[in-house]
Amino acid sequence: MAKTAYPISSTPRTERSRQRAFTLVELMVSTTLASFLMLGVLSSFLMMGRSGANAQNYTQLESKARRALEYFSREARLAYAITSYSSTSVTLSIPDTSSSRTAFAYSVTYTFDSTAGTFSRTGPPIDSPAGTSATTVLLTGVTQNGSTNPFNYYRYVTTGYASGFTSNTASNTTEIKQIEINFILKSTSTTVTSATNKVLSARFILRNK
Amino acid sequence: MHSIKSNRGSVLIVALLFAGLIAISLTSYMKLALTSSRLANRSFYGNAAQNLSDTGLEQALWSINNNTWTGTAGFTARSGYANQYQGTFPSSTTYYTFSQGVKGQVKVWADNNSTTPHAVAKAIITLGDGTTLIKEAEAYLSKRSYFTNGLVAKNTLTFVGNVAIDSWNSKPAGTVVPYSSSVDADNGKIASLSVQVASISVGNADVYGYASVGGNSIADISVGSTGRVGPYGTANGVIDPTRVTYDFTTNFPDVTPPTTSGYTIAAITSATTLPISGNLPAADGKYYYSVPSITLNGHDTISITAGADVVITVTNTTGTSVQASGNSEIDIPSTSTLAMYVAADVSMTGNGVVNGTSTVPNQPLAFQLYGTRSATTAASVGQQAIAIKGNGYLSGVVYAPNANVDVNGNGDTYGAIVCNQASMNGNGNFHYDESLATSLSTSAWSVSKWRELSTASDRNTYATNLNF
Repeated sequence: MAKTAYPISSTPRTERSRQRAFTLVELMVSTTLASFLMLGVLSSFLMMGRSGANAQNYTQLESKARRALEYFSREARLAYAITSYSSTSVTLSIPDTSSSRTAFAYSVTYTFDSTAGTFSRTGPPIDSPAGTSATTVLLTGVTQNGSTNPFNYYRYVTTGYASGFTSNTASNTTEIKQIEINFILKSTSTTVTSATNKVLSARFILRNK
Repeated sequence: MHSIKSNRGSVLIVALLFAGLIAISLTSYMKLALTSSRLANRSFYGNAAQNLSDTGLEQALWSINNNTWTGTAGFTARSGYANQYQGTFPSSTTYYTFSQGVKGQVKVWADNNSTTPHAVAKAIITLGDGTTLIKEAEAYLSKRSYFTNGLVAKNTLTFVGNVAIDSWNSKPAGTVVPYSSSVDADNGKIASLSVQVASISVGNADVYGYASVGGNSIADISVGSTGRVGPYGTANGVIDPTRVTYDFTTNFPDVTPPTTSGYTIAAITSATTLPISGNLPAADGKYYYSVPSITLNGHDTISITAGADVVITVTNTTGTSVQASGNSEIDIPSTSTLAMYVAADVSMTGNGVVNGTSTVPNQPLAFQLYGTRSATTAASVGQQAIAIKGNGYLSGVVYAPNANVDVNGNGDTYGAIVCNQASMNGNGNFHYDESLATSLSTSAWSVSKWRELSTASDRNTYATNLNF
């Protein structure tokens, strides 16, 4: 007896068809589950991306603020005189490398500009006092911290330290011994919320004054 | 069948892609946090390095002031260089320890020259990961002034009479300016180290300036009904609290006569002109004399020759070694100076010391009286007594930390006085010369200039000195 040319299947034709396709309900359920899964994964991914970007903004803010404070503190500690002062600006006289405390090397001005939102330094390069004076913006996105002045001064008088000023400008200039900086630093971004950093320095002592 | 397998694989690939992206994000996030933490850590220990460099400068300052370098002072002489020292603190093999395995050392080089001592400190902080932070700073030193206050007493300070205390600057810009009502200021400074109640008895004096007391209460100053302490305009009987400093303290180092060799002469008992004709000045241009005692009577006068700077050391250490009475006087013309070092008692009445013309005083610096009795001697034999009771003014400075000073005259006093106990009698006013705060120095050194060495060229200047 001749053998048939068709392969012999152990499964009926109807069962095989059922295995090869999904029912509409199965598809809908699986699609829904997959969507939830994808949504969760994407949300986590986006959240991590945004948090990372935000953290980077904060890191950059802190880094910039530290650099600006390092510049200011270095020259404030070194200054032997203040030639002008206000709530938004201070000009310091920096001595040279000789043994004389008051041998003038250069003048440097730090300015807080609320309109432009900048904190800048005007003077020769900090590592090259003989260089040409120029204005360098150390920080952008700077705003005043409420009603607190960006520059605060403390005068040394016989009875100790006094804040505020007398009506005698020359006397104030002579008596100022410490300076403190206070402002808000803000970094805005289109993808994440703005990062703000309140910068409140130590009271820098003018050691040569 | 093949199509189904392909679909299943793509899900796996997509899952792997997402996992990869999440892993990259997490890694970046952690790296960012780590970098931020490291920056904050370096910034924190940068401040610690600054403090450590100051510690090194303090070590040098102590050694310079005490002239003690080796042994526990921690320095060794720098080979091949006179008066230069090098030291590592806490030691070359030990470290100052901080938290988290952070440690620090400071290397110090000091140049102990006699005019402008100089020190440079290099602080090295080694962080837990092995990286280092370096801060360098230098300090130049100068001597402190004896007279940062006008009238200072270790013990009590008493004013009797209706006197006024104020100030002026006798040399504000290179030119000598005599005291007058057009240059006076309300910066007169009086101080007492005593902590007893009423250590400063102002009485009915007008102190236009500041008062400092060793205690911590305004009761340490007593004021009469018409006395005052404060700025111009202070009402009768009032002490302006903003002009009072509490817990006042300062050092009163003993002073010794100069060691410069000069001429030894007999006791002065009659009119004398100094320098004696034919005598030569020392290398510093001054004429130095040692004399056992000075006794002037009648119209006896010691006249300092115009243009000469004379230094007299009175060698008798007991009794009254300087006595001037009657109409006797010591004349110091406007171009001359006189410095006297006396260990025994001083009594100057008569016309006293005429430092200037009869009406226009010289700068107080032109007459300097040093009481050289040491604290040790005073403890055993008692305080030196200095009484100045001239008819005219007194322009000069008195530094006698172990003497009781009694100023009793009707003429004004210009200058400054540092003593054990002071009594200001009579009706003469006291005018503190503010220029003295920076012009006469003690033997103690203090920092006159501090500078952080932050540039490469600054650090290279001292690289060899700190290479040990």
